[in-house]
Amino acid sequence: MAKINVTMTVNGEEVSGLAEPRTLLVHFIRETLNLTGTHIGCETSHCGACTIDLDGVSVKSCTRFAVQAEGSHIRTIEGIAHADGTLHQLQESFRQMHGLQCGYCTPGMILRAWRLLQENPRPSEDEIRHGISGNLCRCTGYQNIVKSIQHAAAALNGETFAEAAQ
Amino acid sequence: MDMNGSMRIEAPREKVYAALNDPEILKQCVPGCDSIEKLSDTEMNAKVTLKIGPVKASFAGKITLSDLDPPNGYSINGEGTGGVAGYAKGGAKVALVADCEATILNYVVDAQIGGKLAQLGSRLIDSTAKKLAGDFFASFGAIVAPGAQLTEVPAAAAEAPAKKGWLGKIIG
Amino acid sequence: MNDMTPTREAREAKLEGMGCKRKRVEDVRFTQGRGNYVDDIKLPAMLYGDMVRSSYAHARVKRIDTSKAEKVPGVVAVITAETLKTVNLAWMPTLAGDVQMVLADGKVLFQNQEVAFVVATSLQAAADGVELVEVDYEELPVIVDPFKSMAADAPVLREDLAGKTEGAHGKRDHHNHIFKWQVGDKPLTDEAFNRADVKIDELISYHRTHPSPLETCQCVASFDKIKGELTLWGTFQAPHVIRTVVSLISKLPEHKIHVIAPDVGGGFGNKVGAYSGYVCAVVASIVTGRPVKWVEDRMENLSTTSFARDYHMRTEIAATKDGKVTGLRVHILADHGAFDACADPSKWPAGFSNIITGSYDFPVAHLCVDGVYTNKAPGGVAYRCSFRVTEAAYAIERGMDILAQKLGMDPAELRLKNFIKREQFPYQSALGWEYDSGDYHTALNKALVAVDYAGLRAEQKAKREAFKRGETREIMGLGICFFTEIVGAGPSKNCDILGLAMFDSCEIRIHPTGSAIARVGTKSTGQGHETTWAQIIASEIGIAASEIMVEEGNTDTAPYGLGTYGSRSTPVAGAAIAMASRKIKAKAQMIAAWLLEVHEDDLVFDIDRFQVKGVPERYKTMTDIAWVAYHSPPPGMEPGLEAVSYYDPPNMTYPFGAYICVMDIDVDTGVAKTRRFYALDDCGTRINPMIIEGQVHGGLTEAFAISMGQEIRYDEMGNVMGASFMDFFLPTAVETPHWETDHTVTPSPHHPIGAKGVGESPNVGGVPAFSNAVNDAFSFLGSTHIQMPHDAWRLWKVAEKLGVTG
Repeated sequence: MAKINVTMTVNGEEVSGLAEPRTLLVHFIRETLNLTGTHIGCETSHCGACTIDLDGVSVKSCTRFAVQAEGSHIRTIEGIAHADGTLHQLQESFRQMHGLQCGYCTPGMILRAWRLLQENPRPSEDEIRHGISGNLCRCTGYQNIVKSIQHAAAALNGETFAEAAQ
Repeated sequence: MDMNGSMRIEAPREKVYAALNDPEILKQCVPGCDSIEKLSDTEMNAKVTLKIGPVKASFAGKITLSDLDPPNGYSINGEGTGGVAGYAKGGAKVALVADCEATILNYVVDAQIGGKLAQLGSRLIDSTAKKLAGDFFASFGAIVAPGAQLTEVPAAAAEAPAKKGWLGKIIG
Repeated sequence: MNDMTPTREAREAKLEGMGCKRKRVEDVRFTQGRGNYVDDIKLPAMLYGDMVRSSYAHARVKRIDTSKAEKVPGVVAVITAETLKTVNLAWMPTLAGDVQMVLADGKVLFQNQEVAFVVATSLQAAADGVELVEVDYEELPVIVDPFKSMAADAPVLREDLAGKTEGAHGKRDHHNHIFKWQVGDKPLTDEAFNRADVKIDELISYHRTHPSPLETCQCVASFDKIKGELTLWGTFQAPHVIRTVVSLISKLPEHKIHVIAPDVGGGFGNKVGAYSGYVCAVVASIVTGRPVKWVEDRMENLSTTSFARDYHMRTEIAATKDGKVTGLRVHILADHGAFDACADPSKWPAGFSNIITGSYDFPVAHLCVDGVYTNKAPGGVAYRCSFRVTEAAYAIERGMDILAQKLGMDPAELRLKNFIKREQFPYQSALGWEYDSGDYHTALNKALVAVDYAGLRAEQKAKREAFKRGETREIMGLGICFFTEIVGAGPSKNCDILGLAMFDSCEIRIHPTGSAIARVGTKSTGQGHETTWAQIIASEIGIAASEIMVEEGNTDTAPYGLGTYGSRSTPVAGAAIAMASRKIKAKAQMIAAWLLEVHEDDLVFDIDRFQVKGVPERYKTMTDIAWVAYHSPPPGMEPGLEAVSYYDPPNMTYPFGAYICVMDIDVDTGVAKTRRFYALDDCGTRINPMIIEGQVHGGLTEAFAISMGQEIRYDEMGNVMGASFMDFFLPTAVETPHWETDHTVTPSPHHPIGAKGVGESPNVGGVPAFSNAVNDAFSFLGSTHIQMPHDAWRLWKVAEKLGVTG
């Protein structure tokens, strides 16, 4: 099948590569750009392991074709830490609050939380639960993921989050 | 799943019955039919392309006619495999009832699917099969006698004693 | 120098040893997307494999035409059973003593069964090839209901077994029969039933479900023709077992097989078995001389690799009229699907289902299990539970509630009355186990107080009255579960897999500068072994956990181990880690004695050092000792400081817990809301309370999913109806209840550190707690037992049947 050149900005850098019209964005990111932090967990857009940030919204990259992302600005888990290499507060908070176990859903979960906290910097527990309901986790039961996001939100707002991981 | 339907065709039973046995007419009526090849009076090979929800597949299969009872009716059954998409089986029991110069065509359709079609498209099957059956008989009616009216009878309604379906009407 | 020494508390804290909520080492890479999962592996010239699968649940395969597929640009090879026969691999042995087709050989026996394997230069080309493989099938009659498997006129599923009246586990009574397994004293049990005042008799089914880790099963096989060596990366919970199996079936010498399980995205039992995809990838790599990657998609995962449960348990309990249990009689019909690929220890065709007497002092019991074939996917793995333990716990915990209902007794009171008492441990159960330790009364009483059980029952009574008066449309249920697990398989006297004793192992090397590497025979799939194993070593030998690297999953470097499943890592490998640490400590003590010029017996170990008894300022730290071990060991002593331990546990461990679920159900919609869920776990010594809590949260969420909706259902044609996340219920953060956790600590007396294992307890205990809550809610309306799963539609049907819908 004929390939098309696709160009996009990923984690602040302009990248381009060849993709068949049917190539999924997640495959382009993983196979062509070699950014393997974005995962694949299903093929029906249910699990959210492939969540990335695309032009300011959370997107499941298994449900987009690479060619549809032409000219877009994308952020993946590899582009979440600060430029100096220090971790983003969410990455730190997920570790502090034991918000991950096998780590497979984690990149998508953090990307979703990253956008959620920009949409709503002080979400309630309920808002967090609804906000991440497009991302499945099989290990944690979500309770510590919710706590991790609360912990990060508090830290980003300069507040303290009282509840430590029990 | 089963469903029933009924239509009035402005043509005598003999003509309707003959049309039901004519591969050329069947080819025009079977939705998505690419080809029909007659093997015998009761067997045909067919190629059909169907789209069920997200899955589009070409089916290669066989159509058989049985319970031949001219001019009162017959059973038409089809079975085909669509490769990775799965397989489909379906059939209709067709009964022709004379109504003066016209014919009332009653049908009971059942359909079964297997494989990926069933796994992904199960919630679409009933509506798809219903549409396919409707399309078949509507085309058939239009070819045999333009102006035929199709009345679909939902299976549940047919069973309900208060609203007798065509079977109920026949048996009284 | 001694004045500068940190306080004992500071030294202790620096170790981050057992009991500490140490943050996880793994998280640093996982939170940055730097995990290394199988699908992240990319090798030069790597090919991609994709499977052609059967649409039919039972059919004869008349013809496979691969010619069109082979012409697809990018397709390199198409492998069928005929190809595999040339290397004698068309069939492979299962862990349960059966054989299984790798690719369809003559017929297919379940939907989505593997028929051909297409290998191509890209994922897309492989998928194109799969589309063009033509297979002619002749449909055969299908059995999906295990109760119809052994009918006289049932179609023969396994033609390869024709005439074989003996299976791996004794006599086969019918062509679709796999085994009959019995334990306990039948005459004595029957007598107890004859004498009983009260009896219950209920068919309690545990439906078919699937472990469904977020990462599916996958592998990369790379065969080096020049060296004759195979490297196999895969999502393996038991990499060493995979290496031995590959060696046995491929005839490649075991030392030329390198099996590596990198980061694994969840297992839950799904990644214990050996699957067709692995074998095909290996063969394809040998055939093509190139690395071959095989990655299952979600539909393939849910419909082919290892389902769980499908146990149908006729449960009878005999009791006196005042509620003392006198006998238990259970018959289980076990649906194993098309091949017996159950992942149980070899001698246990029904796993440890004889833990079915639970936490109660049954004087007599009898259990009989019949395994049968059906046209469904093979498997029967322990989905987040020890072998068949969740099934057993479900039957007994439902059974006790049904008995309480029949006696008109409170279910908590009935349990307290029949518990094995603390002083009875070690306790010999009527079905042959020796329970190591327990304090059930303390645990349940603590739980009852924590939730204000009496208050909840009073509220329920009032709500029921209000319901009857028509003032509310909600009914309230209280579900109690008191489970006893059996984990840590297991003692070599009764546990093996393919003849391999189920020990586990640890090798520790202390480096000259006092840091260390530990290699363990288990494989974390999210449990955080890199974190917790280091904590055990830290406490045992006094090197800070942060100075210890833990490595698992590489069979070239890790000592042989049986892997991670059945909550066996802590009971078995955890013990091996402690024992290896103690060997190092013993040598360190000799070195310290020599350095301090005292007798070994005059030394005492204190946190991170050996010190002279009564003279704490005379000491040598482990760092001092490590340097000496490599620099100037005592005369006559071998240099170095390392140890290996292979631990064969003397017994299983028996974690237990008390779970209480409070639920409100709307009878008009069937929607059930979990108001409160309290889980008290006793897993003995607690290594990392943060990780234990995380394990409990996760296990409870899986229990919630299973009991409230998750199911792999088949229609009568054998179509699998739960094979995507559209249909297979995985709860999101919105549906998932809030979990309250608590604990008691009753150490295992035979385990070196007293730990029992916890990963699976919440699933084992959670399912009955949810189901008991649902059943308790409906019980006052005349209902006795409602089969799982309890999704809203089914609960609404129950309410409708009971005549209480609006």
